[in-house]
Amino acid sequence: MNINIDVSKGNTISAYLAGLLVHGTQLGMGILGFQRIIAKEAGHDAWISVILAGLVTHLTLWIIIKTMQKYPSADIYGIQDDVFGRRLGTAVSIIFIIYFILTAGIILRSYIEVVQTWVFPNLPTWILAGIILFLAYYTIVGGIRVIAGYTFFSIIATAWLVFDLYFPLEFARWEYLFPIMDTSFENLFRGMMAMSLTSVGFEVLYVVYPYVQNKDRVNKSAQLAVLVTYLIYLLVMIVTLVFFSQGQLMRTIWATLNLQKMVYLPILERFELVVISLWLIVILPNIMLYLWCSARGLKRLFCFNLRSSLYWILSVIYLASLTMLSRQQMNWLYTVHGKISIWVVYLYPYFLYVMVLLKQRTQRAKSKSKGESA
Amino acid sequence: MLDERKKRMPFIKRFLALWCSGVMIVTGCGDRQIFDETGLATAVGYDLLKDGNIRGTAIMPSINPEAKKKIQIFSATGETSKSIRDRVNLQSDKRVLGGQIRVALYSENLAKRGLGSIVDTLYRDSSISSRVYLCLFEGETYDMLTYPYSEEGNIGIYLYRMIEQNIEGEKIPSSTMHEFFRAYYDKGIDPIMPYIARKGNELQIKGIALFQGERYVGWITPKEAFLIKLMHGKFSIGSYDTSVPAHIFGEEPKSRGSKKDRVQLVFDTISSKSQIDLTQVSPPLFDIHIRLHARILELTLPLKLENAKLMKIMENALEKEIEKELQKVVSKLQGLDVDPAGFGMVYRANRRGMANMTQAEWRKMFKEARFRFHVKSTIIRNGVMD
Repeated sequence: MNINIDVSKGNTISAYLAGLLVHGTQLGMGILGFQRIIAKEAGHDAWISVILAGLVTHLTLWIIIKTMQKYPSADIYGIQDDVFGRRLGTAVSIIFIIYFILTAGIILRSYIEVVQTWVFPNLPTWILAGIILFLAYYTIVGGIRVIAGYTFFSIIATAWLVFDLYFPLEFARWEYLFPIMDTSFENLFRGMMAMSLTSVGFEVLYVVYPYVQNKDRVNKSAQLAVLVTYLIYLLVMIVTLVFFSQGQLMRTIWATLNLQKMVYLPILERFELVVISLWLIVILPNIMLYLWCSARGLKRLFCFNLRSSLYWILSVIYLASLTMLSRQQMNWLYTVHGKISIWVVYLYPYFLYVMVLLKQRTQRAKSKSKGESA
Repeated sequence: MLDERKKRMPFIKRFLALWCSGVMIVTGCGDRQIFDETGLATAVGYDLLKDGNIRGTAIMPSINPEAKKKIQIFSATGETSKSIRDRVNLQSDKRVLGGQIRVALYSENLAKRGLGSIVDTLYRDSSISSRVYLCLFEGETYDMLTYPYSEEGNIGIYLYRMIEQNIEGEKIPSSTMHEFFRAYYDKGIDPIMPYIARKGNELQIKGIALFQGERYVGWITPKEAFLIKLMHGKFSIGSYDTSVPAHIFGEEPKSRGSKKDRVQLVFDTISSKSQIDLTQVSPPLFDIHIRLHARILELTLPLKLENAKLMKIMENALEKEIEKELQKVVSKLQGLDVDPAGFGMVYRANRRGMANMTQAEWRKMFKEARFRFHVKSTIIRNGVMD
């Protein structure tokens, strides 16, 4: 396997689009219901957990970009191959591919669950899953530039939804936020860990990085993207905490949709139905980018054709999404995915960075000793 | 190999295009809800029957132009609200849906037993708005909804407008389903609802029903509800009337009977801000500071208001009067053992480590709590007359 990728000039994206990709992938299904999971651990101080998670994400992103800067034209699959050697590198890369596929599958399945719970209780899963995956396939075969373009469109088309938070604020009781820092640091930390499904998405940079044109600007734009994402999360979290009482929040699965239920316009009631429909536009970039990352991995590892590997991945996800899952099983799936993503996205990058540094040091030492002996 | 792929691709493309358009067409037919075939309930009422079952009554606007009456009423009994809906469907030519419910009414007897589970079904149903107004009716809601009102038209919409208008005019506190549930699941505040009664041909909001958790325990007048809101909320347009002794203005009571001893004052465009401080933790002592700006609307004594001293006297009298009334309301609430003003929330917000305070703990503390009111009022305008 070639460690470096040759990316033709016509197939690159600019740094700010890479930032948009990070933001678009982070913001997705998680935001619809992350409040309850965090508040379960951190209580009414959940917003502090959001800030903590944001800080950790900034740091992890920085480490990821640091790692990538050591290999200007390689993706994670190439780096792992180089650092761990052929066999171990492939094994680790397969874990990453599985993680990408799993994440895409969970996003798809949970969106379908929301549609079935809130809008069409009788809509069969296979139709919705088919449409979404077909749209994803159609865009992915266009390559990273098309995906980035679509992400740009999706962010522009849905950014205004933030302003809906004005409506629930009418019912705000600010007492609910006090006293600040009432819970232990351990609970805040656990709340931060519970946020993993909501905050993952920036790890796609591992695969996208070689495609970025002006690589010196990636750090800036990606960090900005994460900052925007977390500001939105923080805003949503604070509005949720003052809008619901704690006991009520514990019984609310999709708190953000319940916030949207308060939106009331003279010509339009039941705004949450509009939001759920628009959410298809929001989650498509997530699914597309994750699928693209996994298909890229198969291509890099086994030289599979992008299209044919997509056929396989799509049919696996499609069949998996058809399995009937109850709410309890979905919750279990989220927990498992949360644990996996903490290892893969939040802990592994540091390990990889250390390994890359060690590798470079030994290489340097080797070439030095070679130079001395010669 | 390349030729073969070239041949295969169009086939796959064609297949995908066919599949895609097929899916689009098929999904267009899924889950249709044709307006003519649905009956949209605008108000529902629940009563407790003697045998322990619940009778539900739903009101729908009739869209049949040949119908004489503008509304259709259906009623059925059952143990759960969804079984009631199924039975209502058996009587109706249209599918009964709850997406347009604006008002949910509960009878006093049902509320005394507890409303938790029956409101829960409404909240759980994603098709029902969280802005539904919940109210309590004195008597049976079936009688109320089926009564032939002459003026009101669709009684569901009429009720909705009546409640909405009064909430927006700040005559009664807001009572959407969301707020009911927020208070119900919170340990530091008790839910409230408008208390509606029928007087002859007309409906009226008689007061505010107080709940202890999910159980109805008593009601207070709108004026007392105003005072509760004054304690913890912000006002921008409320109005309030009170009376002060006449002799403070230096006027001797005319010998026409004791009624004239007092001067009636009506204030409006009140804007108020309040701040509740927890001064002492055990037993709780609350210091409530209220700043009030008001305009005089009416007074039953011909006073010349250009006199600044007179204004000062009036402000003082108003402050004293409101403080007295607030104290009365609070002791009434303590007597009923309910906390609709949310002092428990304030208590929890001002003390660390109380996040898991239980309802019983707070009730015990609330009984012992003491309240001190500090009202500062300013009369900013007195109409176009001096």
